[in-house]
Amino acid sequence: MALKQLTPASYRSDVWNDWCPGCGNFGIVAAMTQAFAELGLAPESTVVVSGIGCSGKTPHFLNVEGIHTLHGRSLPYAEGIRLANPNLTVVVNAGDGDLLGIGVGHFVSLGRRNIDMTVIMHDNTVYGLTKGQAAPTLGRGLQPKALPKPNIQDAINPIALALASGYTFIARGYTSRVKHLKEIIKQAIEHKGSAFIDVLQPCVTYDNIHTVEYYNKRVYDLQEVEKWDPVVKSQEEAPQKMAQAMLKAYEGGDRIPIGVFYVNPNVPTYEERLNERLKTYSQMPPAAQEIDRAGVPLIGNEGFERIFSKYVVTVG
Amino acid sequence: MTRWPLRSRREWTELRELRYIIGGPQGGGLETTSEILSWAFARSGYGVISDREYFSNIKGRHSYIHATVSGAEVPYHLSYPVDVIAAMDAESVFSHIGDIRDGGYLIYNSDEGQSRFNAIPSMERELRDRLAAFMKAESLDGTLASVVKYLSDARRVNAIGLSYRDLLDQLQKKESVEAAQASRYISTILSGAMAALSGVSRESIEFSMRRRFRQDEIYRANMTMFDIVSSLVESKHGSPLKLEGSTLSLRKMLVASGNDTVAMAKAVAGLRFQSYYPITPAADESFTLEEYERLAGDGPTMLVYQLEDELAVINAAIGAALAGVRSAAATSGPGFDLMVEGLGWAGMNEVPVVVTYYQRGGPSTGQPTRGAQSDLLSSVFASHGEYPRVVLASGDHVEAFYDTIDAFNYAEQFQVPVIHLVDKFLANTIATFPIPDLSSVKINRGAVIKEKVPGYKRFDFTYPVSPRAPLGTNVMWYTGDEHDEYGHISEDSENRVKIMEKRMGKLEVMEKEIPEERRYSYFGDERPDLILVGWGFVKGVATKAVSELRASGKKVGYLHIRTFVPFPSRTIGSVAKDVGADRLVAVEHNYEAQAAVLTAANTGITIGKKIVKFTGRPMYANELEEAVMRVMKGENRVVLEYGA
Amino acid sequence: MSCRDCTYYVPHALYRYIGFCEKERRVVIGEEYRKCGYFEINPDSYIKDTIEGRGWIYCADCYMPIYDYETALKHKAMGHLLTTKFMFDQVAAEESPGVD
Ligand SMILES: Cc1ncc(C[n+]2csc(CCOP(=O)(O)OP(=O)(O)O)c2C)c(N)n1
Ligand code: SF4
Ligand SMILES: [Mg+2]
Ligand SMILES: [Zn+2]
Repeated sequence: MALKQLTPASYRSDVWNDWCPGCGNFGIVAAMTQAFAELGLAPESTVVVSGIGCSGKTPHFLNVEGIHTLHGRSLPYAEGIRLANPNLTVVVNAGDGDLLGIGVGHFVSLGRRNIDMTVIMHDNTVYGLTKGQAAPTLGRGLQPKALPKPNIQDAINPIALALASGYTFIARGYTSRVKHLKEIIKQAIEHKGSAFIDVLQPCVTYDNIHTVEYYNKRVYDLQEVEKWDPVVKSQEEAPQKMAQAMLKAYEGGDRIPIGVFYVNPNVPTYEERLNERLKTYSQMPPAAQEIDRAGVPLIGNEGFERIFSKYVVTVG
Repeated sequence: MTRWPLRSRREWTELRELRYIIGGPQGGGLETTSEILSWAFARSGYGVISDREYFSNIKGRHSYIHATVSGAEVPYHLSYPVDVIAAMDAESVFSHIGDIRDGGYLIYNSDEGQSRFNAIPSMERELRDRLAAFMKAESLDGTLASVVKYLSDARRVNAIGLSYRDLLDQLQKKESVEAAQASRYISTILSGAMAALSGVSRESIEFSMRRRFRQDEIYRANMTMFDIVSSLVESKHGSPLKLEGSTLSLRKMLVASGNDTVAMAKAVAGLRFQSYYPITPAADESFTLEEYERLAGDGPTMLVYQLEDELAVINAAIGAALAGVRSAAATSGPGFDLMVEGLGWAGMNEVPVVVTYYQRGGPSTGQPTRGAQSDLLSSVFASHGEYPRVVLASGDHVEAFYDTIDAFNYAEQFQVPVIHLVDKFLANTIATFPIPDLSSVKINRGAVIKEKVPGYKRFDFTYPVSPRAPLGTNVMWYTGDEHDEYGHISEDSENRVKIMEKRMGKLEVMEKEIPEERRYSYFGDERPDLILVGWGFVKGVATKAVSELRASGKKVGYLHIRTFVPFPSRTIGSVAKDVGADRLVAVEHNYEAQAAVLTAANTGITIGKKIVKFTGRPMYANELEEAVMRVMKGENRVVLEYGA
Repeated sequence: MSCRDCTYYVPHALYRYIGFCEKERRVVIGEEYRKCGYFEINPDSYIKDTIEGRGWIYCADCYMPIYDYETALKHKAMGHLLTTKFMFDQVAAEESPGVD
């Protein structure tokens, strides 16, 4: 198969990357292209959907289907695309402001559905593209240099919110550990259901607190924790696995866990639920359906009266 | 100004058209009565239009059905006064005292004779105040009995008091009545009385009841109640409201609400993805689509997707459209407001997506269950920046059916968002109309590429409408930022000029491809002295008013606008030239006369005369006729306000 | 041999000719060599380790990220400055307008 020859370079576009020199985002592009290559994804059936922000530019740097949408709305676009054509691999790249601020309703709602797709959050604690205001991931009392005053709002815990929302694959990566991140992205893409990856991404221009040095000192891999097993074997085990993930999510101070927090393969995906209802969804999803024969609608006079017989009254 | 209560102007000798009101508490079974009667009249070969007026309330407030039945034409207008009022409760009589014609019929619950208007908590204060003034003026004591007496004496109304309690008792002796179904039988009391008065055949009622009640026992019990009531009423009163035999040629028809009509049309159009968030009066359409999601059950399906808000709704619909499927969102004002940013993205990225826009009274939550046509300007101008769109507006069920299909065709042919304007009036009106002939319906998907094309450019500058490849076929990019041919961000000035000209150039393409004749229709005199200019639901009442006025010798016409983008500028221009701009009268369900605003913007023609209604109730033929006469006598602005 | 070849030299993101010396903790001119006594060259494995560990390295001369080793070597051969780290800079953060 020709796909075998795909290398990370095959997934990079020739668009000049205008992120600040040194930005953590480069690590995300590197990890994604490596993961795509190792999975052998066909560029035209791989869709990267983004919101608005520095993170939102990601699709332009990639040579796959790229949909750069609106601030906060990347998830609805991705859901529409994926449900219309479940043969596409859908990956979302969105900022922390995008996903947990303006778009947080969509973030929570995706968890309820468990649509099979991967959400990569660029967690840089700031609103990069609007010059460094506090993102919902910035802790109370912190004052990255763009802020005139320290932040007096508390941070959302993305992992905890993802757990509460129902995501079935939840992980954290760090842009300076590209192999680790690549592996997580691969697992997330291969996971059946909604996968969320919180990626610690230093913003070198606006966040002088969460720097590479800061994270390097604190980050550790959950894999190193003795007997760490995030996978829910059967649904009864879910509360306990969720509780252990929650504890890790709130681990604070000088220890920041990365790795896979929680995986639950037992929840049916939205696609499976749809198939149950529509019966033909898997073989014949919306994008695979014809709607006409040479310009003539599939439903003709006879079919119309049969389908909508409830509305037809014959004078008698 | 039309004062309340209305005194009838006309007497009926022969009944060419039956008008009735059925009133009751919201949730008390009105819907059932309306369906039973509409189907039964249709079954007997008559045309029906049945409007539903209700409060933003789940249970208890006064709600009513207002209908016209005719065998001389397929009716699409409502008018006052009505021939009969069938009241489930005392409030319904109080609310409609002025609506009944002299010599008309009133069906009411005789057990409630001592109910007083001012002891009805669900009644709004304003109405109670008006009633108080009325009771005082007519020296009535405020009880239902006094009002019934007044109607009989002063208005020669035939009051048919039935003891609903006794009727239920009688039924219970014959059939087992399930408590949860009890209020159904109140509906049937009214259907029975109505059927008797109007001489509807038992067979037609059986037909309706079978449709309505799939469960055998419930069907039987309702028929029993029907028989009890109809024989009682008929033996005392005969069938004084029996219509002339129908001369309609319809042997088979559709009887459907506007919501259901649009849903059926979407199925025919090939809709494969509809997203929505519940909102009145749009949500019923999505419910119907979901009910029919499996279509014929042999493969093709419609995916109906309920999301968390309208921000998600529009953007999910756009996502599905990018994947190549026909997709739409259905909403109403507040929801549309949330969609506006997404709409701009669709415009920027040339995405074919349809928004079915059910207008209701605004601004803000406004009048959630009342009709309006006040979102025209919002539809035409929504979203910042400039981008081409198509805006269609439907005047009746038949138009709504075909416009829905056109909306998808235009969306794909021109790769633009299409806003299809309908309204609450249409949504909740059950009408009879011919079954659409689908052999004449065409699906036009525009320029599509399905194979892999080396170096594919989604926004190829060689065309105004570049061939569209669905996601999954070719690598391409989309962005809400200004972009180059590939869909990558570009802020270059030359590129900006090129792509703006390409995108906006589609306006010219649309101007060429959407024929002028499709943008309007005209009814009435060939050399009119006065032309009403309207759109949307105004069509039915305006054509009726025009034909009545012509019958009395007036030379009038009605110009009905069906597409606002592109606008029928040529036609309005030449009409204004031939007839004179000062003889045009805007007739609209909004305060400003928004179509007149657009007429001025598109043609420079000022329509100075206006007949407007913004109470949320439809215009009635009688009040429109009267308003036109006032305009003919020199008034420039008439505000209509009739209707409970 | 000048400061910009030294391990401790952290270039400015926009003006490549200035940088920050991590040893002396002050601004230095990249083209100069200060005979400071700290001078050290990145180990041969630096580029490879960086690309493997971080996934990218940035060419401060070409102004672009590089994701693979072979390409990075070519830039290196041309004498370009490859790094992942830029001088901490307050000016850009203050002077850049919000851009969306
Ligand atoms: C509706 C709307 N509001 C505001 C903006 C302005 N805006 C652009 S990017 C952005 C914040 C981006 O922050 P984040 O989502 O964290 O992405 P980052 O730049 O940090 O990657 C804002 C507020 C917008 N584009 N749209
Ligand atoms: S502002 Fe921050 S997040 Fe944005 S490109 Fe620059 S370093 Fe990266
Ligand atoms: Mg951010
Ligand atoms: Zn270089």
